[in-house]
Amino acid sequence: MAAAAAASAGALMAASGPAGSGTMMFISPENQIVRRTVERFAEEPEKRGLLDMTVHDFDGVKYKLVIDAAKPDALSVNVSIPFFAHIAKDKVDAMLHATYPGMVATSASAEYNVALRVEAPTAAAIPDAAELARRVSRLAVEVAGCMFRPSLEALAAGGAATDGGPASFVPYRPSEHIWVVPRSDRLTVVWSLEFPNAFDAALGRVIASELAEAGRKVPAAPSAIFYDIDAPPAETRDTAVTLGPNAVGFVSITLLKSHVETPAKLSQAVDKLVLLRAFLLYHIKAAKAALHTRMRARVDSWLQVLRRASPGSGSEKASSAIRKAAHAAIAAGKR
Amino acid sequence: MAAAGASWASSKPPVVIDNGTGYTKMGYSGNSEPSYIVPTAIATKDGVRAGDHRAKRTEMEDLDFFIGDEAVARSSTHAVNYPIRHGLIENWDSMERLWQRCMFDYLRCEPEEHGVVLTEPPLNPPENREYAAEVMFETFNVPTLYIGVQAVLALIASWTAKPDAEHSLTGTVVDSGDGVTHVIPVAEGYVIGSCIKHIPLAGHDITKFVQQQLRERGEPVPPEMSMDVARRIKEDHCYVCKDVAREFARFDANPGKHFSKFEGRHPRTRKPWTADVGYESFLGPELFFNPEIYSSQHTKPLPQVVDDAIIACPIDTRRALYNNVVLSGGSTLFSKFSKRLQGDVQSIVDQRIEANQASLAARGHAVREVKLPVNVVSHPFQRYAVWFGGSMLAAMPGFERSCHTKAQYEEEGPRIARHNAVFSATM
Repeated sequence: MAAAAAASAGALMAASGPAGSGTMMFISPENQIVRRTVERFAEEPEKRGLLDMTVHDFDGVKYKLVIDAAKPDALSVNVSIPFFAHIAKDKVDAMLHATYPGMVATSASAEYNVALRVEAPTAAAIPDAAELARRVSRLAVEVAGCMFRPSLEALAAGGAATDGGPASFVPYRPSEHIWVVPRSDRLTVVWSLEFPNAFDAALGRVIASELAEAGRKVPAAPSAIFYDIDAPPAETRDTAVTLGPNAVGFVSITLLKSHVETPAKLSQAVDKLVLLRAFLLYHIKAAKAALHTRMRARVDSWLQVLRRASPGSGSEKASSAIRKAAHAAIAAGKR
Repeated sequence: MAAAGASWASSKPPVVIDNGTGYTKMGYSGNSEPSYIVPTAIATKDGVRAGDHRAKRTEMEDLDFFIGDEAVARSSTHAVNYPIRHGLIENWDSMERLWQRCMFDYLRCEPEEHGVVLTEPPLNPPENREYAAEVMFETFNVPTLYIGVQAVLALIASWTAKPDAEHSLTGTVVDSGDGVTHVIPVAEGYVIGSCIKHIPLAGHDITKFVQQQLRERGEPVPPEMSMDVARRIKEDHCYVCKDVAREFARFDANPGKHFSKFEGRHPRTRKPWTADVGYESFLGPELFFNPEIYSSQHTKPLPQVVDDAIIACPIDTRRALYNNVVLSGGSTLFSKFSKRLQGDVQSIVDQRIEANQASLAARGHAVREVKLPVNVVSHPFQRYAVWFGGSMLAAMPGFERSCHTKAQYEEEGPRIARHNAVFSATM
């Protein structure tokens, strides 16, 4: 399990994963339900009808997809992000107009922070629907990514990360926080981690520290440091935060210009930063599932031994055959 | 802080996951349709069972698997495993992995924040419920869990078609999917296990029958597409007629109006072809009512099976069971299915009442007027009635009180899941 944690952490640091296999290493930045709904809306005009679907995502994000029966050729995608108030609004607006030109709309209710409106030609398909669906399904990650993207873009452009905006503090969950600290040549992001269950917290601590260890083994990986609760990193000292009973500690990841040189690398980096906690949660659960599989297999083998050992189970012949085979093997070994 | 955390989590709706033998339906409660319908299949690397601890392990092997459509698509390169057989979960390792992928890849829900509603077939051994609770609470730390019986959830789904006063947990559920059809009587939310009846005919058989008819008539359907074409004809053109003989006569009298055309394209040569859709459009669903046209082994019509099931039940429940026959599953969606079923069952019941009354009269007793109405309920959510019932149930106020909570699990262990309280909105 520790090996698995190290391998997954290593993959995160190397910003790549085995391709073409079923190994789901990372949490996808696209919400699959939103993507399929938009794709279906775009490609199948005859199936457009009344729709009112509420779908939840990680970190308290909520999507609401609405098609009004009166206007079946417009799909409204609303997203609610609990920590929206802590993201610079001008950066979000700039991102929305750049990534979703012509689609920005006012949200259905005060509960939802950002809304997009996908318009389709009457009773006809939208061209390039797959790409559109993919872009719309990344909405929550794009909005949350505005915490990091401006600093990273400034860094990639050759300037100082501080050009992208000042340091910020985002309490993105009730008792967990993110500190975004840009400096002249790097961006440091610190997460305080808490997992609700004591066992999960212990596993979380192992995996988070493996993150730091694995980073050292992969060349040119962003440096990751795991801090215990009693030794918080320097960036967090200014803000007074209360940590819950199952707090694991802090993880800090530092990105340099080399990590965000190309737009593809930058996009990947933003996706992984936004979904770090979900990534850790997923691997904790996967580790527990692997543990349970081993436990079940062990119990099965013990049951087999018990069944063989019970008298009248017909296995006396089998055990004598095993004894004969063992003697033959020993005799062969002696020669 | 803790209070804010609790209210943040409690505003999250439960997730409903309906694992069937063929397909898994999942989504957030409060919606009217499942967000995802995928085959219940998991594909692992050739030769390595999911979790085979004796095989050579690479570091990431436990995460290397596909589920759902992707699994089925890789049946030639990977070992595909179907963890659910006949409605019961048989391979818990595969199931744990399937649920893990469902939650983190498809639903993207944090398991600690959303309660889970699972479904189980009737006559599920209580041990299976314990195992499910173990996986849910130990691996995923879900806050609440409810395991609902599929037939009861189908009954709850039928409440959308009725006014509040008539919401009842007593009824006969006719569940017809792809593999097998069940008739399940439910009284006061509890399934009467000894009276469940199975019919080995369902959607798949109707598809095969349509395919046979097309082949017998020599329609120019390319062989590699024939099953798919038969299924589409079944879904788009088939309906239930009132009387087979009359329908044949109508077809023969006016072929131009009744025969329709099905158009397709050859997958490789891209040449278009056209097939006629004729008698199979009403003969297909007729399998339920006259099984002898397809199978020589099972010849009891569905209305007779429904009647037999209800007659086997305790006498005080029968009136309510006749009055509330609920349909569920994709194969009950044929147009006029409910009307035909209702008519046929009603005529069986009426005949029996007449015979009884005649024999009473012959012996000189006074005869009272007896009416036993048969009512078949049809509603727009029939296709995924079980999932929809779960979604509605989880959205009802007071539902949390009927669920098992993590605190209870930590206190008492998995045995709390052996009994899932029947929840009624009137409680």
